[in-house]
Amino acid sequence: MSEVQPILKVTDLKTYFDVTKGLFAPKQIVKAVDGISFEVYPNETFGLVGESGCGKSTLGRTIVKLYEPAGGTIEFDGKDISKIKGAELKAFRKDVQMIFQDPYASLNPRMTVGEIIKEPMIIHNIYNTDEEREARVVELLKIVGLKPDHIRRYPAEFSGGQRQRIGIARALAVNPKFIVCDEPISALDVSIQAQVINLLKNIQNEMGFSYLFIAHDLSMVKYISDKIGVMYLGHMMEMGPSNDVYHRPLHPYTQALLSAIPIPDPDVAKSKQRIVVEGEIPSPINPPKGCPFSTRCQRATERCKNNMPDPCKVGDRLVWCFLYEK
Amino acid sequence: MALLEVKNLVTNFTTDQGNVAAVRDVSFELEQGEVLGIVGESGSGKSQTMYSIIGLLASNGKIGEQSNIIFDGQDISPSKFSSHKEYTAMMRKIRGNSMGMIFQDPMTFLNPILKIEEQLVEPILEHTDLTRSQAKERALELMRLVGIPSPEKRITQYPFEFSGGMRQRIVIAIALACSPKLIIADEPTTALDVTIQAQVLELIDNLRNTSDSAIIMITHDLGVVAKLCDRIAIMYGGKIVEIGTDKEIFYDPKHPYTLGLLNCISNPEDDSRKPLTPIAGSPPDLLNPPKGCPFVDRCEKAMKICKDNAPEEKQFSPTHKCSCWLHYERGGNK
Repeated sequence: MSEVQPILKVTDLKTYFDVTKGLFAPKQIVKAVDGISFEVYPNETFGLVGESGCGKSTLGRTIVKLYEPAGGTIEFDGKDISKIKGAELKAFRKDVQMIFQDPYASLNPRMTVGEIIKEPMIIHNIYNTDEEREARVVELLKIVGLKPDHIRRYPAEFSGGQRQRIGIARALAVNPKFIVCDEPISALDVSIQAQVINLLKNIQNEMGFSYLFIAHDLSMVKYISDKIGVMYLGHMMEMGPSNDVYHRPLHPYTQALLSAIPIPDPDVAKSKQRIVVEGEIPSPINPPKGCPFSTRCQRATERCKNNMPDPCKVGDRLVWCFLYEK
Repeated sequence: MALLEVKNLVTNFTTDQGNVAAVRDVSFELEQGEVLGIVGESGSGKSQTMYSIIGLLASNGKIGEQSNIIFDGQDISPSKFSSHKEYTAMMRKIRGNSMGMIFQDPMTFLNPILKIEEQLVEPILEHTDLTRSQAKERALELMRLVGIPSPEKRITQYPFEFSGGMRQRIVIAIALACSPKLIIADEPTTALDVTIQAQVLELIDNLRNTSDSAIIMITHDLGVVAKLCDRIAIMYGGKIVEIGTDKEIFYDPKHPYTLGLLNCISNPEDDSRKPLTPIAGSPPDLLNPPKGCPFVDRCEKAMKICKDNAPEEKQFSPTHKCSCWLHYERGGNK
């Protein structure tokens, strides 16, 4: 038992939403997350990419227990937390924090920055006196690159990038072991994105925790993550070390996704041949019977249309595609 | 003669907090068939520059008296018209006709309660002599052109029945309805997913090859401009700080802001994981625009002169211009 244990182990996780309209209408279920398994190790960053509607945010929210899983288990620090409630859930939430996409919607406009960052400390009873809390807030503000005198100001007085820093300080307030970042930079300008990414990397190096980094921007995810999982329509398509996935994508969907990224270099971008994926993502209410990508995949066979492939191991990678069956 | 000539464009907005100088002396030219990318962060004035050209400024916005906009040989500067009414009447004739527009969010552009047919036929009936049935033929032709499958069936549907990518194709079809000479696209793919974005960019790329429309592409995505644009203008704090061909901007940037922008995006081909070099600070507040160079507060190479004197434009090649004191010996001797 000398091996490092994963901090998070998700097994066959399912999150379903009932979207039935009306009392007598036929039951309609959206399988937003449908049988996802992966592990995240301490101090590691796991990047989750996929297009809108692929279930990546739902997966992140299910892991922090904002949604109830419909099936499967979530083991955090060796303990199954998929069914915990009450005091246990509260203790879990101290260890797992979240950074949200929209820095305008995720901060209460009527609270000062100090109150926002202090709130989780009060909820989790971390410090005894307000002086201690205040001192910690000042410390956190410095860590995220804000000034101590910002403590009495309101979110409206800050720019998008600064607000995201406040959100990061709030997540750090309870010394979490795991932070779920749900598209933390997609609402920010390019020059500000790099500031926030550098900050996220620096605090991870200094404090030591794991990230689940959810984004649709593959180049940023590749930059920050050790491992990448590619999702499509509630399923994992491919998972492995980020450089491998980026440079030698195996799954036809990953290949298509990567070839669609516009490269910021005119010579490369203008000569690059895109792997054409026609059509759009099928409705998650009526997903394809077999591989979810089979309706758009150029290499799909009858078998792909009817059967969901099992994961195939290729090197350090897992690929859910019949092409890689041994 | 250039298709579009913008000279000394100044646009101000009157707000409760005061006067916002959104566009501060912007000049550029656009030739027929050319694709110009305008890159800038939010608040840099890139969208307001375009709204000034197409005459769609919000009611509190005003274009300066000295500003000149000449489109297709015709002076369309608001100050050249005797009344605002006359100006808007003129712009109505141009918009949707020789000037097409593609906006960021197709759902707010399309009317949710009108069938696609109505929305496609409207500009054709407004600007041409075609009959209703001819206009419908043209509409179907446009839908085929932008790659919408089974147009005969789709034309009778409402916008909500289309996906995001398909809606954006409809918006592009409307923009193309009267074979415009100029298409202004404001972040046309920002709301779309990567694989859908690639489809739409390919469509725009095909259009520029098959028609001689000029395109102005407003975006903050350097990958998108690298793929599509012949020339690129970099805007910051309401000004164009650098303009040049795609290669000049990407391979030989002259302005510290352009360089900073190129440095703070991660190139996915690079595995080194070296820290990104962000640009510290945030863009200037255009309620109180800086007197000198707009980038001075964030520039690592800022000099004394930069604070109080706006840099003059320096020409590096027939196509490459940049406004920065670094390129003047001893700061232009000032």
